[in-house]
Amino acid sequence: MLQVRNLTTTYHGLLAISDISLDVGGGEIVCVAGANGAGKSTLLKTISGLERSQSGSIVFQGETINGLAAHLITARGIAFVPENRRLFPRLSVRDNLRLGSFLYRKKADREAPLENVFRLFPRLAERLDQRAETLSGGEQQMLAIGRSLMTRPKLLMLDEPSQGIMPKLVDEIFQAVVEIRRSGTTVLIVEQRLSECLEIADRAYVLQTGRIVISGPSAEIRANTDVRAAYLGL
Amino acid sequence: MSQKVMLEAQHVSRRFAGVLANDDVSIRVERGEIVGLIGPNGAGKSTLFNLIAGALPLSSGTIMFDGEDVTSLPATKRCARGIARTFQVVRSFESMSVLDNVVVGALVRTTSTRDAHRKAREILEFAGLEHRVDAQASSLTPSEKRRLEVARALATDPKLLLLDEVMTGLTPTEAQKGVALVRKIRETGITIIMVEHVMEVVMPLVDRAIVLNLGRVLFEGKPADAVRDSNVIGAYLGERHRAPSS
Repeated sequence: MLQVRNLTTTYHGLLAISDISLDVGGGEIVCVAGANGAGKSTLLKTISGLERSQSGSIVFQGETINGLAAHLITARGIAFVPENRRLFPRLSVRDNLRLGSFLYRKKADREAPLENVFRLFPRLAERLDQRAETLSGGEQQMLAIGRSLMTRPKLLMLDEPSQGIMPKLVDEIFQAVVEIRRSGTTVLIVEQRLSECLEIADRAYVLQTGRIVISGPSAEIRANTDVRAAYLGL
Repeated sequence: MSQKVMLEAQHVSRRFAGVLANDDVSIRVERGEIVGLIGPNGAGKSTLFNLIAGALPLSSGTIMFDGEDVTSLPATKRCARGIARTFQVVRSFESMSVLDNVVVGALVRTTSTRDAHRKAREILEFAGLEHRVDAQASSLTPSEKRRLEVARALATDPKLLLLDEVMTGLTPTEAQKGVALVRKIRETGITIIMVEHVMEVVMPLVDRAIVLNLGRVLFEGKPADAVRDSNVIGAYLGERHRAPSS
């Protein structure tokens, strides 16, 4: 579904990711892990069109998408839930969700995914008229994921969905990710907390200082003792 | 406080709108050490850095520097006492020459522009930027800008140098040159605390690692012990990924 080849992105002239190649197959959950500063967020921002790549290619469903504006990439079927969620804090839960369905003209099409979102996250249905800023961290993450699902993506990309969230809600969110895959959406998830992520991912890539240093099926990664060195440098 | 201690943070806390970014943090840095301040995102590293430099006031606690309580001193006065820092996003004076950027730092210690110029040239040579003295700061490459940032801090004659992610985004070759510069700075007797994400660079370089997690000190000790500590591994890789007991 997604093929990234030799992707390099710089940030203020500094190397953020370097020569990254990875594949995501239709129906997979793929995890990209690594310590802070490894380049995980930059990778997702580059795929989603928020950062420009220096070189390399991003092919989604057979078409090259690097260089396209972010909203056009969303229209192709890639949804991105950024780090820190980027909700509209003063808007209601309902309006945040509505803004996610901007791709669709007909009201019926815009509202169709709502049912799916409420099934995944019943808490959101209970809080439709609350401002987003009044939600807990975990609920805000659910709303951010819900908003991205309103675009009816083929590929959902999540940037550190566990960050700043209490452990119980992290489990709930990871379970929702499994559900999202079951309903036919492919998932690319970026996480620092590798061990939790491996429980739901089919495969994982480990980044260190902008490069992929380890990759393989989740079971292999779990057993790989080099992973610690990739995070901690020794 | 013993003569050996350069910096001591005692029970330091800093709150941001209900979030405890630093929660009862106590650390001690000895004269001549290179200490790495590490930890996952949101650990409170930058906050602690800013509290030590005086860029942010503490909510509670004390910062002792070179035997003196500097808790209530603003950044400028701490700089005069001997604390210098660099910034993660470099803050060069873009329209000024490389030399003049460093002269600004040197003027902390002298009112003579001639002395300041002499000092700045020495420092630029030390930092490996002598060939760029007359260039405008805006024309430097990213790695040269990092060096300029370090040079300007050194020009204030610090006893303690705080380095904020000076290695991030450098190529491996540039990073190795950076490591050499940090070692050279320490040889002149300056104590160094560095916040750094590039673990394969920082861990072999530092004498001690202080690992923060969720605003608290999780580990303090040798880098080789840090990477075997199950709390440290749990903080980075996830709670269910503990160290194999060995």
